Amino acid sequence: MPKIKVPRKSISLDMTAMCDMAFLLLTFFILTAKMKPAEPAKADVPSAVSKYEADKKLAKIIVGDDDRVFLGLAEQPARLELADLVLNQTYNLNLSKEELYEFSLMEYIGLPSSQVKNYLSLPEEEKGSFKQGGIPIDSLNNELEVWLKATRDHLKLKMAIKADKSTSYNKTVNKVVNTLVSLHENDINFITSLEAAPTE
Amino acid sequence: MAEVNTGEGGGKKGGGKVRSKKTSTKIDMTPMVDLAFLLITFFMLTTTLSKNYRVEIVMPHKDDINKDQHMDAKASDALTLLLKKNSIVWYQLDKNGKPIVIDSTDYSDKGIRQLLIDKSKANNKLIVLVKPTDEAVYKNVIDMLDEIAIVKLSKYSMADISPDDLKIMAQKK
Repeated sequence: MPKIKVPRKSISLDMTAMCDMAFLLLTFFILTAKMKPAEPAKADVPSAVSKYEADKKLAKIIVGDDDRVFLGLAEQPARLELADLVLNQTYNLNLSKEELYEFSLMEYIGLPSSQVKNYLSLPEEEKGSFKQGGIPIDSLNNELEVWLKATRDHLKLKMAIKADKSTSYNKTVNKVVNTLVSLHENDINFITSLEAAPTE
Repeated sequence: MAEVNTGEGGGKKGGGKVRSKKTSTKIDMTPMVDLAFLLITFFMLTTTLSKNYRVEIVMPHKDDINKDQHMDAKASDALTLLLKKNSIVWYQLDKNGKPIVIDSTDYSDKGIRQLLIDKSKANNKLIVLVKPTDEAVYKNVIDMLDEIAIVKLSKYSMADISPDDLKIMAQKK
């Protein structure tokens, strides 16, 4: 008996379309992803069960693990306005428009007013690696209060504290809280990451 | 790769045209798709969505030191928690301001959470005072506020540590 040969059909599919789609997705995700700006100091936030979401437009007071304090504003025009108010009108540094613009390019403000001129006079290539000293919050020289007052009164932004887990509370965070309280900002917000609430 | 050569090779020996083998212009796209999906998966899994949450606390006004603004609270209703790095020293006062219980606990759910549940059940006017000591780190404070939120206490406050608290803490040791 002759064998009936079944014609062999190729099982390979045309993968071109699938490939196109996969790369399209990949490109889409890469292009839409927004990079988080590098923070000037390590601020690894503790977790809490609180489910209140923090506003994206918050002004963040960042307290790093080395106790330096920064003010983080997401928008560059806001930083420009603030720099003009604080550095020129309060501290009378008489910075030119270009210098203010230069200053506002920094994502996080963390310079004592006395060091701003030094920073701006640095050559371009050294600015990137410049280590900001943090905004002074001593009771004698509380520059943070000036920055925060301008942030609240002119930019009308809410403020929140984003501190590193291992920062000493009494040494730094408490001073920031007291600064806010002295500005009559009694609702203090601490930024946290989410953790699962315990089940009862 | 292990492939067995079959067909044309052996059979036709004599004459005939030498045909150049027709190569297919089709490329196998499978590895490329694999790669693309691998990359997508990798990026999706390594991306952390940065969503921030917040813990809120209302601090007392600074200029409200004048007595008439003060809420009346009995010292005996207060539970004071002194936050240390790995433990919490807590005490309660009697009506004359003498400490009646001084004890310590830890940040676990069996420790501080149980304490808060027990104390709030025993006294519904309970007021919790959180006082971080100098060795307390920021995480301790947030953990503490978190525990208060979990137990759903409504009356709590944060305050600076006083010399009296330090004296009480020394007694515990």
